Amino acid sequence: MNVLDKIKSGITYFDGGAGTLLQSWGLKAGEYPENWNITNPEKIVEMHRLYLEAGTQIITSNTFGANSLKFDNLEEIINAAIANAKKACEGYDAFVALDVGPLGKMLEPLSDLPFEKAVEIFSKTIKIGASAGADLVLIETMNDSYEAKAALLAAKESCNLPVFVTCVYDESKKLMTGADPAAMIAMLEGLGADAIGMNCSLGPKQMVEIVPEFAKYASVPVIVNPNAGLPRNENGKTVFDIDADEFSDIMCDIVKAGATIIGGCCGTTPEHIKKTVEKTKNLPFSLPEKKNFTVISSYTHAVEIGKAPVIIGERINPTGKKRFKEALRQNDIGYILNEGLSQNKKGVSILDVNVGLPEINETEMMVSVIKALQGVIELPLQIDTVNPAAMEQAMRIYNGKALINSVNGKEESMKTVFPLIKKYGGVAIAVTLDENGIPDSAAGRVSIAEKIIARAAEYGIESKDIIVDPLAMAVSSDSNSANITLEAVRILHEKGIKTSLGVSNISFGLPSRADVNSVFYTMAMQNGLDCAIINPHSEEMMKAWHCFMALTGKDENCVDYIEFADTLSPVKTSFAPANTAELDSCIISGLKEQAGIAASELLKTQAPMDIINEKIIPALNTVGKGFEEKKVYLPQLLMSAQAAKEAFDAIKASIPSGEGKKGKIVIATVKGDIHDIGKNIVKVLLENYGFEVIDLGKDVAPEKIVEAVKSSGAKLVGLSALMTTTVPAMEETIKLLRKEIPDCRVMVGGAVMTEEYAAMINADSYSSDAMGAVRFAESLFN
Amino acid sequence: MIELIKTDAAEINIDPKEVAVYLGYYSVKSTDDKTKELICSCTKEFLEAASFRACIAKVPVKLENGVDLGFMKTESRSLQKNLSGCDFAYILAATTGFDAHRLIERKSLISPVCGMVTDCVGSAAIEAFCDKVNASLENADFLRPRFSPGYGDLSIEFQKDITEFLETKKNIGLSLNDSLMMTPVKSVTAIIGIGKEKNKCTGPGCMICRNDNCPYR
Repeated sequence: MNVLDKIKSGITYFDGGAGTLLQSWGLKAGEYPENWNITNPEKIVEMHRLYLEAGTQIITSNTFGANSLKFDNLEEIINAAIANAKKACEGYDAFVALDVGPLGKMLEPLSDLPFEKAVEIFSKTIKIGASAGADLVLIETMNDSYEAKAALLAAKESCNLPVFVTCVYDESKKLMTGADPAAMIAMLEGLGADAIGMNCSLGPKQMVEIVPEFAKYASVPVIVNPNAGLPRNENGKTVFDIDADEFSDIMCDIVKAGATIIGGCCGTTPEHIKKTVEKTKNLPFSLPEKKNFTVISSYTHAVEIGKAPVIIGERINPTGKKRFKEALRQNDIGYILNEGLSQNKKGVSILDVNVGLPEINETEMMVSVIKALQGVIELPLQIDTVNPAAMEQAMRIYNGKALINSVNGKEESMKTVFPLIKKYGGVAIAVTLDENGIPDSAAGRVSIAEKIIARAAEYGIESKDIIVDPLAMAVSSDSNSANITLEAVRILHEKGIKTSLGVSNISFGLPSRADVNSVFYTMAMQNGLDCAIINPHSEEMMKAWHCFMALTGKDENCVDYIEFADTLSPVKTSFAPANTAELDSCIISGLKEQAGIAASELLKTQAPMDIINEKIIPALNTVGKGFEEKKVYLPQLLMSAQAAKEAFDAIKASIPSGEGKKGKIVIATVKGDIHDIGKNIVKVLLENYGFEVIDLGKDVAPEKIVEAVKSSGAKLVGLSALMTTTVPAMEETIKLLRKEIPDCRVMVGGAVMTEEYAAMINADSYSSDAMGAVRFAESLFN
Repeated sequence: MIELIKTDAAEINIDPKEVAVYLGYYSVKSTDDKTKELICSCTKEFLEAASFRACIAKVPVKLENGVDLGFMKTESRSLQKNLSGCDFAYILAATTGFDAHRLIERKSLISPVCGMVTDCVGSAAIEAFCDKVNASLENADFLRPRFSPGYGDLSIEFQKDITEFLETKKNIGLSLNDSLMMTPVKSVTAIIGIGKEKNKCTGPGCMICRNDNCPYR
C-alpha cells in the first residue's frame, strides 16, 4: 500500500513535536536540530520510535530547516535524516515524510528573495530527500501563500512523490500574509497537492473553528496538526497548556469536523498522539466529497464564480488606449498599477491583465506587471494573452489560482493551454470558436463549449475549471448576433456551465455604445451570465450591475445599491476662476482639482507654454522657496506638486511635442534597498519642473541603471539609499556609471547620506531634500 | 521562552504630534489644516490595516569584555553603557503586519503625499505599539530605553541575531532581506535592559546615536 492508498483507507496519524523532546535530551537553544541526524542519530531514531509506538503512521524526517541557505552539508544531513527515519520504521507499517519547512526569508515583492530562487532552494532539498527514499513530501508551517506555492511547485517539478501541504493560520483564520482557507485550498489543489491543511501556531481548540472551512471547499483529504495549546513560561521553561487528555478529546471534534489526517506540532508528545489514536481510531471515516465550485484566488481571498455576476475589470489592456501603450513602451509600471487601483476602487472582483504590444517583450512585461500588481492589489487576476510563453511565466509567478484568458476549440490552442492549467492550476475562459470559425447559432457555440470541456477532461481538468465565453459579436453587422449570444448563455447556464462575455463588443460600430452595452449586459445577466469583462469606469455598466444585483435579491436590503447611488455624479458645479492669478493660488494652496479646472480655463486665452512659465513654475517656485526657508513643510510641498501636476495634465495635450521638456533623468533606489518613499517624492518634483523622469523603482541592480542611462541618453542619474547597508550598492553603481558613461552626472540622497559620504563615494551632488535635487538638475540642464 | 503578544489596533494610540514630527514639522501647531486632516485620515486607514504583533524573550546579561546576551555577543560600548547594571534584558521584535506594509506601498502609488503621511503614521504606530508592550512588561518601571541594532556603535548586523533568536518569521512574520531591511516595513527589533532601580536611565536609546543632524532627536 502506498501512502495515497493509506490516506484513503482510514484516519491516518502523523507524529508530534520534536523540539521539546530533543531539548530534554540535550539539544541547546539555538543549536540546529538537523545536525543531530549526524551527531546523535540514535536519539533521532529513538524519537521516531516513540511516535511509532504511539501509533504514528507517517513520521516526519528531522529536516524542517534543511535548506541550502542554512546548510553547506545539505546532502549529508538529509540523507542521514531519511536513513534515521527509515531505520526507525523497521518493523512498523509506516511511511517517511520528507519534512520541508519555510526558508526563513520572505519572497519578492514583500522582500528580496525571488520566487524562482525559492523554487530552486526547495528543489535542492526535495531532490535529495526523494532520492534518499522518502515516501512523500510534507511542506509545513507555511505562513505565506507565495512560499507555499514555491515549495509545492518545486516538489512537483523535482519528484513524483505525493505532496502534502500544511499552513499556519492565526486567530483571524488567515495566513500571516493574508490568505484565507478558501484561497489556499484553491491554489494548492490547483497545483496538485494530495492533501492539505494546517499546523502549528494555534492549539486544537482554535483549529476546530477552521476545519469546517476546509470541509466546505476542499476535495482532497484534510490534515490537522495543532500545537499542544499555547505556550507559557513556567520557571524559565516553555510549557504548553493542553495535556494529552484534553488534546485527544478535541482531536475527536476535529475528526468529526472533517479532518482525516491528524497529528501534532509544537509541544505535543508521543503521549498526545497515543491518546489521540486511541480515541479517534474508531470514529466514522469518510473522504471529502469532490467539490464543484468554480473558484479563483489571490494571495488574500477566493472569488467564487456562479453565485452572483462577477465583474472583471478590462482597463489593463493597451487596445485603443494611447496613454497605456506609451506606458508599456516606457516601462511605466506605476501608470499600469494605477489603472488597477482605480478599478479596484470601483468595485471589480477580478482584474484582466493584457500587456501585449508588438514592439515590447510581452513575457517580461507580463511578469513585471503581475509581480507589481500582486504587491499592492488584493484582487485575483485574469491572465490575458495569446502568447504561450507569457501565459506560462505569468501562471508560474502568480500568487494564487488565476483566471486564464483564453483557450478555444482549436486543437492547437487546447494542446498549449491545458497542460499549463493542469500544472499550475487555474480556471480557463473557453472561447467558442474552432478551426471552422465562430458558429452562427447558439447550438453551434454550445457544441464547441462541450467539445472543449471534454478535451479538458482528458488532461485531468475538471469542468468546474472551465468558463465558457460564447462571444458577443457586433450587432451592427448582424442583427441576430445578440440573440445568438444570449441564447447560448441561457443554454450553457441551464447545463450548469459557467459563462463569461466581453460585453462591449456588442455595440461595435454603433453610437452611444455605453447604452447598448449596459442593456445587453442586463439581458445577459438575466440569462445567467456569470462574469463579464467590462469597463468599471462606465457609469452605465455599473448602474446595470448594481440594479441587477438589487432586483434579483443578491444585494440584501439594497445596501450596496444605495451606497453606489450616493456616488453617482451630481451635476458638476463649475469652478471658473475670475482671473488667471487663481491658478497660482490653487497650486500654492495645494488644491488639486481646482488647479486642473483653472488651467483648463486659462487655456482658452493663453498659450500652454505661457501658462507653464508664467503661472505654474512661479507658483512652484514660491512653494519651493518656502520649503527651503522652512516656512512650508514637505506635505504642503507635495500637495502643491500634485496640484501642479493636475494643471500640467489639463494642458498637456495642447503642448506642441518637444516643447516644455528640460532633459531626461534616470532615478532609482539602489540594489538591496526596498524603501522608495523619498525617491518618489523627488520624482514628483522633478516632473513638476519639466524634467522627463525615467523611474526604475527600488532594489535596482547597477547594471540595470547603466543600461537605462545608455538607452535613454539621460545626462543625470538620481540615486537613493536608506541605510548604511545599502550605501555600498550606491558606490558600486556610481563606479559602474563612471566606467561605462563617464559624462553622466550623479546626484544622491537618502536618510543616511551626508555631504561627506556623497563625496566619498564619488557622487557629483548630494541633496538633503527633494528641492535640492530639483535645484541641482536645473543648474545642470540650464 | 518566547512570548507572543498581539494587540488590538483599537488599543494603539497614535499621537498626531509624533506623526507631524516625522513629517518634518517642528510642532503640531505649525501643521496646516489640510495636513492635520490628512494625518487623521491616514491614521484611521493605517489602524484598520495594521496587525500589531510582537515576540519577546528575557535573557541574562553578562557585561565582561563587552556584552554577552547568550544568543549574541558584542563589544559595542554604546550597548554596554545602556545595559550597565542590568542582569537581565528583554529582546523584542514587533511589527505592524503585511496589510499595513502593502497599504503604504499602495498609498504611495496613488498619491505621494498620502504615501508619505501613511509612512510616517506607520513609524509613529510601531513606536506606540512598542511603548505599549514596554508598559505591559513586568518591571516596566525599571526598563532602560529600547536599544536597536544600528544605534550608536551596535552594528545593524545584529538584526540577524535577534530575528533568528526570536524566530520572528515564524512567530510574527518579520524577516530580513540581504541588506538587513525588515519586512513588513514598519517593524522594530530592540534590546531592553532591565535595571535594578526605578527609572534610572543611562541615556536614551536613539539619543546615543552619533548622527547629530538627525531631525528626530
